[in-house]
Amino acid sequence: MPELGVLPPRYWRNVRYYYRLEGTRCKTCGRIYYPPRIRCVCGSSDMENISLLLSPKFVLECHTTLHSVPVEFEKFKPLGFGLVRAYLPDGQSIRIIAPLTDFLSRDEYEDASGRELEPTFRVVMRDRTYGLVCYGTKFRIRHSRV
Amino acid sequence: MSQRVFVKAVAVKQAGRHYSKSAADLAGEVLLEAAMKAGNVDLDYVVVSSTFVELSERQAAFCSYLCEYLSLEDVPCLRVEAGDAGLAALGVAYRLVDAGFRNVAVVGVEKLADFTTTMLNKVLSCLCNSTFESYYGVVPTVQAAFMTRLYMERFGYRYDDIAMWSVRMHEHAAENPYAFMRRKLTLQDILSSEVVAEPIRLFDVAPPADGAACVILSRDPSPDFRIGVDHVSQVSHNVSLNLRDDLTRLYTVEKGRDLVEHYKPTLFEVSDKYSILGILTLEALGLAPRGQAPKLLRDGCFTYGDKRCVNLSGGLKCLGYTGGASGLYLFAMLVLELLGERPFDRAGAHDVGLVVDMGCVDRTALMVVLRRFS
Ligand SMILES: [Zn+2]
Repeated sequence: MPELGVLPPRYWRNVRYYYRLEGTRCKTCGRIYYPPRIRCVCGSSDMENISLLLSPKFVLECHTTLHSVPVEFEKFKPLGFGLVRAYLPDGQSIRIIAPLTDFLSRDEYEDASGRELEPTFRVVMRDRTYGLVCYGTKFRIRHSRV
Repeated sequence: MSQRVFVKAVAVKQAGRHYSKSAADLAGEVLLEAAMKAGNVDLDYVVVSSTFVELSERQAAFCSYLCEYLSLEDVPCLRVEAGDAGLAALGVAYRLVDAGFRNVAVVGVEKLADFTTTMLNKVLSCLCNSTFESYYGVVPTVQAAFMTRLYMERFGYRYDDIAMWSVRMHEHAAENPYAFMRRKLTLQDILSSEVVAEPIRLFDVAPPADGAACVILSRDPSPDFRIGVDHVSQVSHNVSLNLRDDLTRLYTVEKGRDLVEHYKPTLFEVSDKYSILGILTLEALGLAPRGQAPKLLRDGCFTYGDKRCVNLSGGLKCLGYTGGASGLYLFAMLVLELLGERPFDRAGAHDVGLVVDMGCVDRTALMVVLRRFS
């Protein structure tokens, strides 16, 4: 419930998802999942954790800016979200819904689809009940370095 | 008459900002009204649908406290929840009647106007995955925004074309006394409304509201309510949107195409929490070819005078979004349309209709076929 705030054990339990974007890979057929699953559509339960954060390449496929946000995000509005494709080292790719940050000029943002992104570690929100600062992985447009 | 389950009565409270009424007040009001219309039958079961009642009323076991409020002291009751697909409760009621219970009331209720906008956004975000989506602030509107943008890109539409859905819904609702939003809107009104999540604007979103609706299903056909339930089914697609190959398809609703071919409904009431979901539903059911729904809407299809009418009520866009009660509003509107009540009598006589209710964004769909008998 909204006013109950973030439960610390739940936060710590989920840190691997928030910080490392952990999904799962089926050791039998190789399918990857994010959100993770403990059983694959192939029927196997032999799954291993994988960190999507280690993907060498992320590409923005579609994005939006949310102007009317949930209560704990008021200070951060507007919020950018993207459908981001992560290219894994093994050659597979998977699409995720991820927060975007460091918006550039509006024009640059408008035609950002297809741009390469990079993950960055950021504050997601501050819990209103216990004051717990919650972090997570956001994405920004990657600029080639000279 | 092959049906075994009949609609005995429906009652609807116009959705809105009912600050002076609790969830129990609203639900109680429609339940008593429906029971009276049904001839004050004894109820054998009460099935409640509400997606957010724990959040709005801080109340578990709401069904039991509601029944106490109505002095239904010994009536068994439960709540059914499948996201905001309120007709999941109707599906359970249908099975109960089919299994031998004589009269079963389904009551949908929601209190969304009590929340401030940002609190409400938090509540609605509960429909998304709490760890992987809503943790970051994702709400269903974000998912619908992706779908809208991808649909526009893929089929070469501009935002004006998507807005046609909303224009049509407001045309229909202008005459519907049960609608929450009854003002006719021009395309210009929609184009100048605020952006909620690009490209979605305020008028693409069914307005959250307080509301309640009740349906009484029975083994006995009613002489006044000559409506039977031909079919109830649920289709789910328990797959996150990011993992889907095609975000311009409704994986759940497209299973309803077989129902359209088999039962040949001519009236439709479908969930349109966002304009894009209404548009995609037309295509998923096969009423419009892929990528053609906005064009057909612009050409004047699916309204009075067409052989197949969709959302003559104004849809959730104008009835209001009442969470777990929404589907029951659509159901009740279809009943009134089949009965030819004003203003729906303008559509002429129709015998078969289909209701499509949706839980979350395309995670589950409830489909109900209703038939008028003579
Ligand atoms: Zn597998």
